[in-house]
Amino acid sequence: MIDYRRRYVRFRAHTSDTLDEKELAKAIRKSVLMLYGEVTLADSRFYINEFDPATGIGIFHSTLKTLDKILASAALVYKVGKANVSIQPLKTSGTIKGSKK
Amino acid sequence: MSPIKGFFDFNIGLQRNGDIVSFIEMARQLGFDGFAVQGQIGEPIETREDGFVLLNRYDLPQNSKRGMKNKVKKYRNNAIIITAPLTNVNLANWAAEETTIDMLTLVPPYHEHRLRKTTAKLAASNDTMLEVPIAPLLTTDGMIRARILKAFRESVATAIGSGMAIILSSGATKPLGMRSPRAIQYIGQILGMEAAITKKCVCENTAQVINRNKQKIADGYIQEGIEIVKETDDK
Repeated sequence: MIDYRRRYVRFRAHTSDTLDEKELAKAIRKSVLMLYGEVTLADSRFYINEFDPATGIGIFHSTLKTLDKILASAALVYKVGKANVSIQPLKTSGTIKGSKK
Repeated sequence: MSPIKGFFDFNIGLQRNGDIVSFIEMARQLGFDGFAVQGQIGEPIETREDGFVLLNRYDLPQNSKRGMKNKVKKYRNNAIIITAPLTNVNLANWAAEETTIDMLTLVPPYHEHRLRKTTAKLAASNDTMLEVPIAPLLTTDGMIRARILKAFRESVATAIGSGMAIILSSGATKPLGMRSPRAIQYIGQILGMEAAITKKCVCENTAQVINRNKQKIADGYIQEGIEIVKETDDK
């Protein structure tokens, strides 16, 4: 298996409604797919590690190589379900622990 | 007069009598130190008690050259930012040369109104910047967004190639249409800018416009390098 450099991004999803983790991940994946295509989405290994719907704060994971593309796609996500959102990247780190500091 | 620093969103599309407080709350949460809005504040710059800065912006109408000249004269001392729409080549070239106009803004239909190389060179020599609103990229998708992206990327490439500075603004009409300074930087990368340039677009260029115009509208300012200095009683 090919080893890859991973990055964890702590983010905050600002919204007026409560967000579902799965719907949020789906919206970001869809945005990556539309902007950069299937190859980038496949290479990104994107998934949301944790997400607190009450605060909107969560951590997602991606490869270092595709990180900028994932963050750009996440910034362009405007709707998740029926709710409007604004995703704000807070901190990027190589470990989950580091991203929480 | 201390120089202003920080992150500013230069284009909040607040409707008349809109809820400015919700925009301020959102902007603070996202990490902005202030934003510019048209026709909502009386002063060119208003600093609130909590330190948040509101800037008065005036968008020139898509009008005749004479009409635009009159509006510039009327609003220069009331607005810290004056922008002209990037429409036909004559108006765009005039606005690019006019030192009282701070930015040329991309306006719809985006595929018809692109920045030309000649306009960009004129603007670069007069410190007039290109404003790219990101709102159309958030609210569209598919082919429509692809066409907007094409027009934006071409205008951005022309501006960079001619040495014209760029400002990325949200153009948000709702608080959740705003994006954090870091998110805007990543959107800048979609438009074909390098990371270092996007950082300048969000932070340095905005502060440069504010500080330059603060100086211009101050008492005693005549033109760049010439201002009336008060006499002191030192003997």
